[in-house]
Amino acid sequence: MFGLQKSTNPSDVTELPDGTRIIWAPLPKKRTGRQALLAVGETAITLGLILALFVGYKAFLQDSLVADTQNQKAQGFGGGADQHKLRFPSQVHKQAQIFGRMYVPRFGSKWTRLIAEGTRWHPVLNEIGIGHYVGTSMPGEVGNFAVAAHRGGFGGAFKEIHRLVAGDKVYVETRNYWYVYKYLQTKIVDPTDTSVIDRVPLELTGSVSGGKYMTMTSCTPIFVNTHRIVVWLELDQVIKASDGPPRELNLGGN
Amino acid sequence: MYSWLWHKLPGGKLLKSLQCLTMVGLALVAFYFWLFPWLDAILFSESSTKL
Repeated sequence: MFGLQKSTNPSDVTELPDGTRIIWAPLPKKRTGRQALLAVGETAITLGLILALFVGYKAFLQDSLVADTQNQKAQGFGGGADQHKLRFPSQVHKQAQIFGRMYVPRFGSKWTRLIAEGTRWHPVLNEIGIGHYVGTSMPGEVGNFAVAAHRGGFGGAFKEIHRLVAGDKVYVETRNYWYVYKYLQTKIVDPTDTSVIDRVPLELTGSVSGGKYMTMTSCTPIFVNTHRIVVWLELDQVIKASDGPPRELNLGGN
Repeated sequence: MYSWLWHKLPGGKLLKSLQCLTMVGLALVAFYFWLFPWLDAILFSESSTKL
């Protein structure tokens, strides 16, 4: 590539005693520009690969690992033969305090998550699963029992929220009662539209003062999060905890 | 960069390949335990939610 070349510079020519002339070829120029471009290209490819790995980790690995952990935590809470078994408190006194457990058969027969006070990402939504909007009604009360959970990432507790349809039921277990809510309506709103968790959500068709509603909120579209998906439900049935879980849940006396 | 690293590594092709695989493995472990949680905290911060 860089062969011998005639040099115009006399100092590049050496003449030996026998008359042989050696013409020194100039040293190849360092191609720093090309090398820099190569390094930039390789760095960009490396960063792209790391980003692709991160997306895979976030969308599949972390989501699945956290979802399993949250589900197991919820299934194990208050159960087992442990004599010091944990029970849900009758009153909520502080942020991140776990006070109930939710079952949504539409999300899967084994799906369950704990419900805690507040909607802070850490530790409520990221670690526990479902957060109760502070100031909204508690389960079974008149008004709006409003909850939030992640749609994608950190277990995505409400990943399947868009699949809820008429006829679906959501079960909320607390210390003394089971509350069964039936599906009413789904709506996509802006993140600033906080009226959806009002005591009487006006955007809910047919909402009336004195109604006992539940609002499930999450981000949408998954991982884009520019909007919020809202599902409204209405209290359908109240069962005493001492009577055991609703039969249709098939919890086997758990 | 990678070509330079390949030439710097001692040994034959097999040994170089093993060293490269080890480095990739260590990098993945570091990503999982350090880089990805850090990126997670930066890219998915609580301030991005309003409702």
